[in-house]
Amino acid sequence: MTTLADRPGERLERLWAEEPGLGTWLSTVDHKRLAKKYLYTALVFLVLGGIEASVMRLQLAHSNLKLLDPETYNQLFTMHGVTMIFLFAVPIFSGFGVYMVPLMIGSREMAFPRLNAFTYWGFVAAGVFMYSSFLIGRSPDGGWFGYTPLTDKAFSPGPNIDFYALGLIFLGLASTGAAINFITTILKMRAPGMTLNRMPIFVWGELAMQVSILFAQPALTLATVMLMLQRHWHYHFFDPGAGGDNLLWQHLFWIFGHPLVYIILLPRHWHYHFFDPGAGGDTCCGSTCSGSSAIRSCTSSCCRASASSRRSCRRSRAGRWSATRGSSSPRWRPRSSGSACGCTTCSRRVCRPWRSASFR
Amino acid sequence: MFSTGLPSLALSFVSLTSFLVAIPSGIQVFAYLATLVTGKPKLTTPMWYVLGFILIFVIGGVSGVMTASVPLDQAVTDSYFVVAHFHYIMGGVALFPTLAALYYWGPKIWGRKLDEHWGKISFWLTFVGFNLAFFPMHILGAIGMPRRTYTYASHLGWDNWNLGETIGTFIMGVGILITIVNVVRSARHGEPAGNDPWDADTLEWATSSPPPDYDFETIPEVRSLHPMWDQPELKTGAQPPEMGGRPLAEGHRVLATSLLDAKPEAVVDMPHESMWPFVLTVGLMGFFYGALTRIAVVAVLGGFLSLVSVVGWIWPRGQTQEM
Repeated sequence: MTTLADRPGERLERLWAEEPGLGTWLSTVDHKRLAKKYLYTALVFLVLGGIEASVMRLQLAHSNLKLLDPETYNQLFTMHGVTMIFLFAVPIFSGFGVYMVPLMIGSREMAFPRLNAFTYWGFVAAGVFMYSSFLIGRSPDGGWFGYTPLTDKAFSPGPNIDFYALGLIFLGLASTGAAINFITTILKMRAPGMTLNRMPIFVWGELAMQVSILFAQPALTLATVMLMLQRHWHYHFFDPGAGGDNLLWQHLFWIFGHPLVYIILLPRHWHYHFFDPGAGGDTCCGSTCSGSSAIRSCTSSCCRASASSRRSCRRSRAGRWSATRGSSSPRWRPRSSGSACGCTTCSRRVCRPWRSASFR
Repeated sequence: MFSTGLPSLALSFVSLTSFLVAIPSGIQVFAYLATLVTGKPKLTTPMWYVLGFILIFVIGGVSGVMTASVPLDQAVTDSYFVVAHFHYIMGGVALFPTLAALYYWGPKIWGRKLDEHWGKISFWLTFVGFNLAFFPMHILGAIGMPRRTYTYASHLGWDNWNLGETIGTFIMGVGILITIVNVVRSARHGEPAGNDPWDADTLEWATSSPPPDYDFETIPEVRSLHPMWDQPELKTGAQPPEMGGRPLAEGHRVLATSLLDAKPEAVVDMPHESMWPFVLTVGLMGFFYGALTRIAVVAVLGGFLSLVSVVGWIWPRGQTQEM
């Protein structure tokens, strides 16, 4: 075993190692190094967003405090929301994904390593871009949802909202790129034999998250482009006085915003992996339920992204579909109809043909 | 959206579909619980975070069902009730799994386990602080405190609730900081983790911790949903070729497989490190600052640099071999 394994290992080390140094720190395409950068950067943004929240809570600790003036308070709660959602909650699970997905599917890299590097740097740059607004004291102040007409030129003449809109366009480029990278990696680079049925649940969650981003993010990017056009080039998308519609912004924003809840939630399905090793017994239940629920979530958030109303009813139909297939039977099935001897290995084996059939 | 003046048919539709969201979410929670009940969970730090997450998800889900009702939503809209709801759903649901993931995957990423003792202290501070910070917001919203206001009058009786929330925020902050310090410390001084500290089933635990640059010595052939449990040869560090492992050591290469069945299709040469992604980001940064300050020269230069780096990036290089 060792003699067999050692020689390719050395050769692989030569082929895959990157030169240490500052140049490589900037130019690395290794998914593990980039993922660590993602994690550290997102944690820094978590701390920044936490500081903003703490300052706001100090201001609100008692009535009539004068720690912050209203304008600063507006900037803080906007940047708190933007930071926590766009710069912490979504990227940190992109970070875990960039690290774990290639490992979980038995590959050596993401499908597009340099795109991976670009999406990381784009995420950092968009964050730095938005935070640079603090240097001139003109941070975004229209809420993380940026409702018009509050964010229109008439009510927000300064550069505050420009930081917000341009920053989100920038971040949108990075997120869309990352989504394409993840989807390609997961669908095309799995180890031989890892059929879709055998894909770990975390990878399903990541796939569902990235497909949702691919559908949802363009709505936000386009809405912010429209906002910039309206603010600086006299367009009237959101101006009822000139035939536009304020609600249009809200619809466009929430076409992005509601799938976003699932973008944040879905990869967090991975906690089934704690249950499985911790369970020590009947593993069929957890994996099968979670497998079907991730598919359900995938279908549902894609559908939601395409629906212009607040909620899409197809979501729940998909949910019921998974209820009959996933959740209602697996808990009992392997035990009652399953193994003759009752041991976990047998029950898993018996469960398997049924499980593969259910996804075809 | 219920207070924006949508026509009543649209309101009923939106309300109905909002209610229906509760069904798959409820199934999800029962799936969590069923897994916990049928297994023998070990109360490690990540598991504590998962338990905290389930409770927070349920509380946030219940207030979500409440806001799906049009009359109730119109009463509490723009109040702290909504703030409470979305901090439970977007805040707690984002935060707790993140912290759990740090404890769960930390051993793989840094090669060392995170400190369990401080992990549990961190969990309890975060959990208690979180609920102290956000649960009273439901009550404040119900008694009328509007969101997005920077202060409030003293005769309204909101002071004590708000003080409690502020204290909760700082307790939670301390809890999160403990985890961050724990990560920084344990990444250097923690107990070495070994390849697979959790006896988990997925492939990332087949590699050393942290994994080598090439991740897998041989690209494994997977024959199970739980490869690490059902294929004992993976535990040795590399699947030998006679068991299906592919060394792929002739170049900087990965394997591409088919979409559904993961049948090998091609060997792909992967790119080495490259400055172009970073240069492209710098160019875009210039473009966006130019657009912000409306100085055309900066925007044009930034755009030009971006184009140059895209050309450098896509310049032909390796090749793909069909199998």
